[in-house]
Amino acid sequence: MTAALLTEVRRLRPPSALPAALTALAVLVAWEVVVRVFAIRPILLPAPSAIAATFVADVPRLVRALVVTGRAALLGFVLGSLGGFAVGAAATRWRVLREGLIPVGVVFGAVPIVATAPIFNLWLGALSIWSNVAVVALVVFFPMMINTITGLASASDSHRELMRSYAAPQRQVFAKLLLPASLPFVFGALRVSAALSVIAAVVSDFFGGFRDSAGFFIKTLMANADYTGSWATVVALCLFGLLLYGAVALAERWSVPWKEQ
Amino acid sequence: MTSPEEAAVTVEAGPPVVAAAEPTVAVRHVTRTFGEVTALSDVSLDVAPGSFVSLIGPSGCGKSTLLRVIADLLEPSSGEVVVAGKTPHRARTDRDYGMVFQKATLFDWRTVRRNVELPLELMGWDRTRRRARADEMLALVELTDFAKHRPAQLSGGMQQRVAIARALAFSPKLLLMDEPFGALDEITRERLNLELLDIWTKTRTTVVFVTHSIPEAVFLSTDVVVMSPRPGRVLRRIPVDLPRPRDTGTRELDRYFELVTEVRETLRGAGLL
Amino acid sequence: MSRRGRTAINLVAILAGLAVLWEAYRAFALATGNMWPGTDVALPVAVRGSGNAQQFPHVWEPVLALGRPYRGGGETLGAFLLGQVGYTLREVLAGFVLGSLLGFLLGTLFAHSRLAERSLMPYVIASQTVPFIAFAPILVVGFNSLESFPRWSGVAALSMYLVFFPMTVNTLRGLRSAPATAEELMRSYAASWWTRLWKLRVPAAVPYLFVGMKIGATAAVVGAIVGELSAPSSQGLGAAIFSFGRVSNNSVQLFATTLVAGLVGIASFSTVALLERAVLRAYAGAGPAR
Repeated sequence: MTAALLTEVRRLRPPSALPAALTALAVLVAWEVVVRVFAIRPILLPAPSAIAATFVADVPRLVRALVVTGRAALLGFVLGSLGGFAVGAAATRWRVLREGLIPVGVVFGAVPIVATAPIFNLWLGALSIWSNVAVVALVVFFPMMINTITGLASASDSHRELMRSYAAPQRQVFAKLLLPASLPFVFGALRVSAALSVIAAVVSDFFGGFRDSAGFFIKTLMANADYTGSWATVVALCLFGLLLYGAVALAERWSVPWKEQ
Repeated sequence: MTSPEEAAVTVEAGPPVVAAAEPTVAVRHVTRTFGEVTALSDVSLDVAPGSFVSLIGPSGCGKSTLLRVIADLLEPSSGEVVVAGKTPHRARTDRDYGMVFQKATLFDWRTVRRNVELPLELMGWDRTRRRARADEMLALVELTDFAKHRPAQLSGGMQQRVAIARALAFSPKLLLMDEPFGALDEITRERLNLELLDIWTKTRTTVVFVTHSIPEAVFLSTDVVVMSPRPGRVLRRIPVDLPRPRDTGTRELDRYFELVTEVRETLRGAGLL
Repeated sequence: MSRRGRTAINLVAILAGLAVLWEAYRAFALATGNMWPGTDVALPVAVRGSGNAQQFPHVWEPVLALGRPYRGGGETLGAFLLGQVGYTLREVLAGFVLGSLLGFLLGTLFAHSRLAERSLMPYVIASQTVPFIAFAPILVVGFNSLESFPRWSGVAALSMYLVFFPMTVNTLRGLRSAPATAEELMRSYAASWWTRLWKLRVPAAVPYLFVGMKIGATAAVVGAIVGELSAPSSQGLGAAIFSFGRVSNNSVQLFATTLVAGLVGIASFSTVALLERAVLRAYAGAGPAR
């Protein structure tokens, strides 16, 4: 569902950079002015300048937080995507799986999977990175599974007929037709998962666990009335999320060049 | 050209002794049903080596089904098909025929050249040979300059030429074409008709060509097979005795108009026009 | 058999298969003493504990736990959770309705003004590639500092935030989905912008709006639960998951509560999906590819 959505996003016209950049500048200036003129309490909204100052001062702490949270996000991203792809690919071979897994994916897509974080803490230990990794992997698993099934089924009937006319064995039909045809879908899922994995890692932090994690900082700093520190951590996480997303987008441009026209 | 009936008798009498007399495609009393619907009813058809046979008729007359039965993409419900002296299945696994569909059916992710290489890859040709052959085929369809383009960058007509190059790349004995120019505009279509005839003359491949265009069928073929729907069967086989080589002038000959009229009258006689 | 019937059977078969796998793992771990047989390597998840403290209960035990008092005596877990579901649903509903409206308005604005789309759309998209859910504690604490708002409004605001994006994108796509020829036809009647919007573009957008709302229905539940666990207010399903998760001898209750949270998500999605089916059936029009 979310995967389909981001594919849709890509189809929208790419915006030119100038109006967007001007908007960013305008928003930041307006934000700063409003906070100063109306003397808004930092608990509601700190000034961007204050957040930036805290960000710069806190770089070592932020890097440590990103390492802890980012590690779990990345590991879960990789394992969940591989798992989703493997199950999705297996589903092309067995009809029960092929027809049954899509509704299973829809059902689990409607479930707040991040809420399983305490269960994984219980199973794997709240202080084990694997409990965070497991939540991320589970969140990432379903979009990848669905998109793999959809992608591997996306080759048209006439393409399949062509391969049949060549008497191509199943293995070659998979390698030369089904797999390349599925790549845009697989990358669609990867793009969604890039965002989801960071989200799941942070939420998993919220449920307890590592003292140095980004989620832990956001929560405790907020409780200790260090609002700008909390904001700075969120900004750092956003940057990490964009980085991961950008990396996936780059890999996609490189591996799916035919979708660029 | 022997009539289908005579050829059928020859085959039933035993294996032909003279190779030249053996039809490239022999369809014997083939019936094919899809559930309640009879797509083909007792169809017999011979395609002599080197001939260009068009199957023509309205939608639902089973012409595409017949092509797929020959290609072993569908099995006949009853009857027998012989392709290049073998069962269609054997002919398919031996890669005895190339196929062109209405849609070009190119692989978006491959360049034009690598699309033409696809069947050669599946047949295990090495890279150098593959590449040389693909370039040769691209020269034949006059797309040498587009070898490195992707299909999406080509017009519909160019894409279909790539599909033809791909189908002929491994020099199959037989070329099966399923309304290959059906989705193209009339002008592009006439130009590709000329090109196809040129390629056919050069390669001497046997062609079975499905179309719903009467002028196209008459212009291209050695024989036009008129089919009727519900159930699909052969109405008549019309030999085309237009002089060769055919060119744009052919379409202005009186004989051409007579033959077009003859096909049309056959369809009208069956209440299809 | 109808396609839907077969889908349902496949779905049940796979869920039953997962339950069997769960029980098989449980039996296996109990038999081997939580070790890979013949080695001294521990299984990833240990099966231990008894009563409410079981770490890997039978699949049916969380369900049975719903009917039992959840601490010492008095109220059953089911009754307690029902109250929490009510609290959470209020946030979900508020977030969903406000987020959908905001998304619809923003999408309409973007459809109307290329400049607005170009200036704001990149941020709408970028906002979904970053973990904005990390704002949960900030939003909730911030809202709670405002005395004029009820305590649940911070969580509702987070839900709203997660809902508005899919709605914006789908509104924009939907409003642009009317064929150009239909737009030309309306122009040939000299129809005003408003008439074209209400008689052509909005009707054409309806299937897309439902796609956005279905995504939003799930997102609203996720937002509410994540919001609750970061709020100190200690109410709602998210807070219940959090508190059961902290005390290890309540693990069966934790499983039960997580299960209920999942059902709330499915119910929220299904409500919109059923509404969609009813509306689109009345329409009998083609929807977007789903």
